[in-house]
Amino acid sequence: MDTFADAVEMARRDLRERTLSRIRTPLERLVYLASLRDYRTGRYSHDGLAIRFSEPVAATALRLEHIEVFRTVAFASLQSMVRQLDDFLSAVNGERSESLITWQTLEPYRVVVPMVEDRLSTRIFLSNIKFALAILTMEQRSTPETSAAA
Amino acid sequence: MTAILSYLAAGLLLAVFLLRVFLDRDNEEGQSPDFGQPHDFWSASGSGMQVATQLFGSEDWDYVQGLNSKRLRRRFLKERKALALTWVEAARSEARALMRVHRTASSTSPHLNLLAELRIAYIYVGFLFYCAVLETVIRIRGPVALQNFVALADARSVRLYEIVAQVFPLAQRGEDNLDHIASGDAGQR
Repeated sequence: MDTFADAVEMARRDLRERTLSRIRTPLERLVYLASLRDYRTGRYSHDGLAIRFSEPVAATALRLEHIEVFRTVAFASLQSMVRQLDDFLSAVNGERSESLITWQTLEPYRVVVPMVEDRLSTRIFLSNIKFALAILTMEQRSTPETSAAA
Repeated sequence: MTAILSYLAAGLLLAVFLLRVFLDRDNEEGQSPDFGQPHDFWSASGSGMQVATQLFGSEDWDYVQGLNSKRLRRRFLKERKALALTWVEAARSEARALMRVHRTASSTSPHLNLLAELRIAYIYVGFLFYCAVLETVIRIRGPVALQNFVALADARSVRLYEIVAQVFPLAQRGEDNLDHIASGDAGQR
């Protein structure tokens, strides 16, 4: 029996039950998981998970979960992507239009891609996100008062 | 001159047909594949069919059409076309890589089976043909609603992997990255 793999599986279950299940959409889960990765080294860390299991187990569990959530988002339909992105950008106290400009200008979604993912999936993900942003921008232009009220 | 060409074409067609009948019959009688999952052909991450469904399905296109924006429609088709062409190229280079490995193995093997080699060549050429047609269709009319054709190309690639694995069982490539990582072998591409 592979005890390391078993421990990783348990850690993933724990992560899903305690943390990820409380985050509403896959896109938000993706952003959260990417935020647990060190920008310099690419290593994942989560204190709670590391204490319950071990650092290598926690890091591996986070990486696997990151990949899985990434795939869910990358292969979601465009309509679902637009909805998720809209929810995500609207979550910041009604500053949706500002968030929209920031996401289009700085492209922060590029850093949420896991390192082991294949290039084509990454291209599809980036293309869908950019396209979803274009759709949201178009919708905002056509109904400015509704967006402002939101 | 025209008559000679017609005879040549008819002869070629007949030869291809007979070869196909022979190989298909041989295949039906043939050995059961000892190769677990040969499917992962263009993506070691195991997401090949997901990618294909997304790129060649019509769900996203239906949604974009409903947006009533000519600019977005044009942009969508342009982006998806580029992605679909990349997909075809990735599929082709994976098959080429497999054939390279196979050629290396067969060139050093003392038990070369000519019929098996012929069958592999036939399936490989068939797969390349599907890819070429797919590429042409994508360039002409875009990638939307081509799932059935992609499934045909996919079936060819699966067959290619199966047969190559029967002749020279290779180390099973394309195993899900997740398995490698879970067992501590955290390889990155």
